[in-house]
Amino acid sequence: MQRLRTTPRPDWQKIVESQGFLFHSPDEQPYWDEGVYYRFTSAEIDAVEKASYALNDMCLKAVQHVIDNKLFERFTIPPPFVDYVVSSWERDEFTLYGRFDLAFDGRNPPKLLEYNADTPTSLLEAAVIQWHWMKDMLARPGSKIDQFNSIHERLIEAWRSFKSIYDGTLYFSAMADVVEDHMTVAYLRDTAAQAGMETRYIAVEQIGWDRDRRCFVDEFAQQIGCCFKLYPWEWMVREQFAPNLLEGNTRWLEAPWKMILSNKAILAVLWELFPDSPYLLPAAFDPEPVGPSYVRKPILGREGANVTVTVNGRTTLETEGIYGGPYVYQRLYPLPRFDGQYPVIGSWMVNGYACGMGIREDATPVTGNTSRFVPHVFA
Amino acid sequence: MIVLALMGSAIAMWGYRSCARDSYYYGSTTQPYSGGGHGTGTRYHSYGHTSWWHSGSSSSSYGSGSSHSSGVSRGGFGSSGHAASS
Repeated sequence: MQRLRTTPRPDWQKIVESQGFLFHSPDEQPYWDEGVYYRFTSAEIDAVEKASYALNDMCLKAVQHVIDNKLFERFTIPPPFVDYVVSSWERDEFTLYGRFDLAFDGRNPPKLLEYNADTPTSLLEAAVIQWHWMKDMLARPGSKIDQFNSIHERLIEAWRSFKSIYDGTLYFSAMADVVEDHMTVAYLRDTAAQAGMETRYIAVEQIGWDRDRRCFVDEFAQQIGCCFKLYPWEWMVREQFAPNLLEGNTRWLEAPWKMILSNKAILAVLWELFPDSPYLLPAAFDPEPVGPSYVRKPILGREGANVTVTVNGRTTLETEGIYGGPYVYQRLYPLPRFDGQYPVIGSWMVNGYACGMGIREDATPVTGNTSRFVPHVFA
Repeated sequence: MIVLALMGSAIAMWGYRSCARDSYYYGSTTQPYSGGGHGTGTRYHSYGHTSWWHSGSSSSSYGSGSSHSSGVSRGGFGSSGHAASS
């Protein structure tokens, strides 16, 4: 695993914009950075792939454990939604995707930092933008490189599979005016369309509740039969329409049971169940079991907000944000450092397949919403 | 509105790309990645095969949200005001 410098393509901004990537430089700060890239060996990629499958398997077992032992309070799932979550799991409702965030130095087994199982983003960058970048790199003399990336194909394949379950209009929804979210669902919508699904977009704020027909509807009062929402379950079950979720028969993607896996409380459950796994770090609901050096994360925190890093009992780093407890405590695992940057691997699971990865790097050990996305290759 | 205009522009570009993308196969196969390799020659991109944005359906969602039914309430989701990405 190496971090290498390279020359960005001339007019790279126009190139990536032509591929649908508009948020490459938010607030004039580079988010997409093709001035550097990470180069892996094939064996290192195999290690990431193997870890991702193992983690996926452990996560599914952990969901069953949470349900069997009724640990919903630990996950702050509102009591009215417990049966909603359980029945979703028992019906084996479809899951499209998720992203494991891994600490990996190329030598030791990848370690799970967290699992973005409900609303993962950086998808367009991972599936498309870095792929085109690699193709352009391949055109340079002497390039013999490859990329761990079949995300796009797996998405289309997943939608084809889902079409056999649901063949109505599939809605895609994200917050209005949030470019990253909108473009992510626009991309996902495109993959569904390529799989032959009829699709529509609706802003989250425009989803309506028809009080007479007792169903969710679009702007034209058409019933929403199924909706992919880039909007977290933990918010949905606490907002005004929450009670309607239990009454309406809209099918939501990700499925309600992903409420368990997208919650960082799962880190403590995973460690309790699989303490011998090489891919897990000790984690618990209080700091004592994990030792004097740990990272404290709000179980419903997002984008690295409100994270504290404690080294030998002393807090050395604390990020800002809007999230509070409950918290989960995870043993501190030093991220590898390359040229002063800390990379985190985002390993994508689509329809049960480990099918690609993206890398975010930051000058601090906490990956946040300003951390840069950098491409990768292997050879 | 500027943001939405930009998004519409990008979507239109996707659509434009799709017109020419039939020559856009990578490698000699369209078989999906089978797990044996990791990329080159096993994937291709095929944006906009169905060109949904040309139908205008994508822009319809940017309307005022006015309802055709008086019994419909809106805004019950999305009150967080935060980006939902993670």
